[in-house]
Amino acid sequence: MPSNPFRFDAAAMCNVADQMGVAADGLTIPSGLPIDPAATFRSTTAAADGTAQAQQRITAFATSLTTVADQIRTATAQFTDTEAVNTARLEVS
Amino acid sequence: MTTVTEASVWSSDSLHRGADGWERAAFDLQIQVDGVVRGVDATVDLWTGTAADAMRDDARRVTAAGTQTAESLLTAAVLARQGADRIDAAATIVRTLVDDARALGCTVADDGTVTAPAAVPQTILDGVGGDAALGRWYIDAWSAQMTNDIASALQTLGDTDADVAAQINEAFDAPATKTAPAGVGQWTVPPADVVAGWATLSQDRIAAQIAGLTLAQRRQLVTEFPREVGNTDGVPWIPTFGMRRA
Repeated sequence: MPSNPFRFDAAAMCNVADQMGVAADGLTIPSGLPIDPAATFRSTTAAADGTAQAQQRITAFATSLTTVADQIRTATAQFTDTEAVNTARLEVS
Repeated sequence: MTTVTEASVWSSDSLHRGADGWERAAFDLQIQVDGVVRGVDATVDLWTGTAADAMRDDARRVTAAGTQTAESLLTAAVLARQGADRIDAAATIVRTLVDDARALGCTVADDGTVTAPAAVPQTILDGVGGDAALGRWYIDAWSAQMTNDIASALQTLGDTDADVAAQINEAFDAPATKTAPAGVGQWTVPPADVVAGWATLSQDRIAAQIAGLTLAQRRQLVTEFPREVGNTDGVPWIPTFGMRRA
């Protein structure tokens, strides 16, 4: 029988998930650029488009981070159940 | 075709404001990414097994995407500032030529066409010894030359604007297809020499120098020269965040 490699520190992992949540909530989203309607400079338009793109990417990053944090919380809830822990042990043994 | 009106209203403020905002967002994002990476790395002592490995893989993919976004923002900020200066210079040439033409009583159309005044300006007459016919010929020829010069300057302004736009777009392109523009991310002098030069530079010069560095270059400075970065006036607060907080 192989040694049991499974280990789970529920309280510590909750802290990790909480840190991820704090990081997701604390991100700075760059604000949009005002474009002078009298000017049709492509560089300014590109900058405004880029800002919008960055806003989407940072928001997506925050969402992904929140998802990982939720996965950790879900695992925490599952692994604190004795039966689930035993199942997990069997899976990884 | 770029017009005289556009050249006259051009302001680099929006590009500089954008660059400032992108830079702040990039450093803030990277600080959060670094914190998450440290937290995830530490979980190897807290959680083991296949589910744990899968979680760490997910988290690393997420943080890698965050780092790529931060790099895109910082590269775009460098290019936007450089581009703003280039467009400023090109627009200034147009404005100067237009001002010169108007100073002699010429009218300048929005497409840059210069029309000589009906009466030959006195300064021209004085220059040709009062010869009205010669003065007429001179102002007409000068106006035609100015038309060419302004058209050329407008073309350069438009080309510069298009080039800056392309560079900004490229910086924000998907990281997998992005290639760093020439000059961005490369040390023109060794980092040690950069830091050594701070002793003789003004705060503004140091701040401008830092503004031209990529995130990776700034982090390299923080890692290799923490004391100098943390204690030099002019170095923006963001890259020294970790140093001064410690």
